[in-house]
Amino acid sequence: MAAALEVRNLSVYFQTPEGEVQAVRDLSLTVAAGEIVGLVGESGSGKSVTALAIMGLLPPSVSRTSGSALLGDRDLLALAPDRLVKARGRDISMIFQEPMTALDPLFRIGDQITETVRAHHRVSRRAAADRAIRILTDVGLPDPAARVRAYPHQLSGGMRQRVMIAIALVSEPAVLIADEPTTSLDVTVQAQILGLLAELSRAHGTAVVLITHDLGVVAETCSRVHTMYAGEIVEECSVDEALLAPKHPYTSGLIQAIPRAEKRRQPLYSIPGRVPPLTAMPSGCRFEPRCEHASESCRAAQPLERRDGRAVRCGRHGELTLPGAASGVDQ
Amino acid sequence: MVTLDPVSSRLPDAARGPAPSAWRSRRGLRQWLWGDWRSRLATCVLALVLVMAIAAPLIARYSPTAQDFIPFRGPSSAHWLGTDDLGRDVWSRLVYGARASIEAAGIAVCLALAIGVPIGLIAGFRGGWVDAVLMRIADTVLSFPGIILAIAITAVLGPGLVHSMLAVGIVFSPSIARLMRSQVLVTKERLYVDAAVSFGNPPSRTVARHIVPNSIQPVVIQATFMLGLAVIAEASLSFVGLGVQYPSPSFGGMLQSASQFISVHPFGVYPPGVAIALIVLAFNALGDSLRDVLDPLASTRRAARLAARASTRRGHRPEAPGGRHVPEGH
Repeated sequence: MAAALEVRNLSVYFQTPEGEVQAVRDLSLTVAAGEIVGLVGESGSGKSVTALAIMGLLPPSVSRTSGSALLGDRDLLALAPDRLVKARGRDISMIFQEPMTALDPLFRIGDQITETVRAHHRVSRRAAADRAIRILTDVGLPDPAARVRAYPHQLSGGMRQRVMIAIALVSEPAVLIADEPTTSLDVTVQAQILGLLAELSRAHGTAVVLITHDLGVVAETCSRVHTMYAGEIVEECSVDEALLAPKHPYTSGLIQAIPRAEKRRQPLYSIPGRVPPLTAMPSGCRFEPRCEHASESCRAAQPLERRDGRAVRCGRHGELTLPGAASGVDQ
Repeated sequence: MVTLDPVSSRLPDAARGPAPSAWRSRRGLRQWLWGDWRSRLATCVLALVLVMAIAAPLIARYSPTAQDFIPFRGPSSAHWLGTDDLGRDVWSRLVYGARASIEAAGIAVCLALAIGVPIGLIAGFRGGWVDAVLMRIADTVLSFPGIILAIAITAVLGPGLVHSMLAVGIVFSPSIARLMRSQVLVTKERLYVDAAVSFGNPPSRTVARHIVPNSIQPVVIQATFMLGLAVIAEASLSFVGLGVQYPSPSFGGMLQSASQFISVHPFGVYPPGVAIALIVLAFNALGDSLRDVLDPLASTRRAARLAARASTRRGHRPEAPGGRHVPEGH
């Protein structure tokens, strides 16, 4: 399987009044064509920053990136600005968390789709309009021929997210980054949108990076998952491995935090504390202050250890047996 | 994979034309100019003034500079609004004065927009030192009292209608620039701008298609109010002799000469004075109703505020005045 997108050793730094801070450290990630890979972590773990860095959407005045994001043989992080503009939308595209605000309220959705088409292809207005109707049909928007004339405020959240997906995919990009595409939607619509993404990814061979904080979403859609904490990848494995036998205490904590019907009347599990601020990162394992399994050895820096096709950033992973989705039930 | 074939089968109307937006819709236009009694009155007044300005030679009964050597006559069938200190027909001068006034307002506001919108856009979009420099220049211009600065600029350029209105345009431009900048600062952080970039729009198109249209509405409203201000500015500058030059008619000039003879012929100040007041009121009313159309939330908020005030007032007087039946919410 050829990698559609290969991110190598990505680091992102921000200039702040207190000096330069590192928001993402040494992140590597590979997505093959037609594959959906999850990137999970709680708020502030650097998921969205990673996405914006790959897209080149971080403001250059206050941010700096190192590493590479290879799209075929091109490095997105090293592309000249005008080449990057051309690559966006055609080779790599992104959909955002809030479909309510990601569409320009002044323009009909048909015009917003044709705008993207005409940004990448020299086609007539008519051809672009026709293309808009077809892609809206593909994403399952009812009555697309009439809906192209609708303004964003006339559509529901789920429909708007479908439109966003339509715009993102209208030029058939090789890679799609979906930044929490279902967070602001209700569960029924969420399932529909995830199903749609999976279907389109399969049909068009699009590589998808699905960013979410919801392991339930990952379980439903992804083949592999990268768990991210405080700007680092702490665990990388297949979805089944992550859910049934997580090796990093953070992944295990995230799994246990999923509300489950069998655990009614029990207080909901939560990982104590919060992500440390970027200015005060622990020098050793970054999760150590919140980890219930922390010991002396955790004060040292933890490398990402690779073995048997999975990787984990925990020195004690060999000695710990952590609860996953199955063992969490009888706790 | 899907290919982009040039053959089109079903095509919606919307996808053909240019992108529509709120104020281009016909309903919005009707609501703006004809929505309530205030906007209707204002539209009528301005339509009248516009007709007077365009068709001045047909409407005026005499040449605006022709004298019949009997000054200070009251209104009569020969001279509808009487004659001035040099025996010229006031109605004819008023009609030509309207032309100067409309011209002046147009020039001043167009110039203010032409300077202010690009500067505000650049300052807001680029930020950093570009923003700092442009806004300090705007601050400097704003720190002068407007009319003094306009007089100074006119003194440099030389008097005359066009020059004095260029001066007023320059004086107005910083407030347009500031308004535009503040709007752009908000708009450029909107998610749809990032989304447009991520779908492959180059910066120029992102600005032209997404940032400007989403930032311009308050500027358009402000410009409407400025038309009224420009009419006053023209009158003021002509009053002090820097605007329209003698003997060409203008509201300011007419008011000035009439005010000199106010003890002999008090009626003389009314025609130009009332004309100025009506035009300014009309522009303000249209600005108000334009805001109601473009920013419906603002008018809802205002209506809610008025209703709240009215209900506290009704608390003192149980019966609603004016016989209008207002259903009570409690």
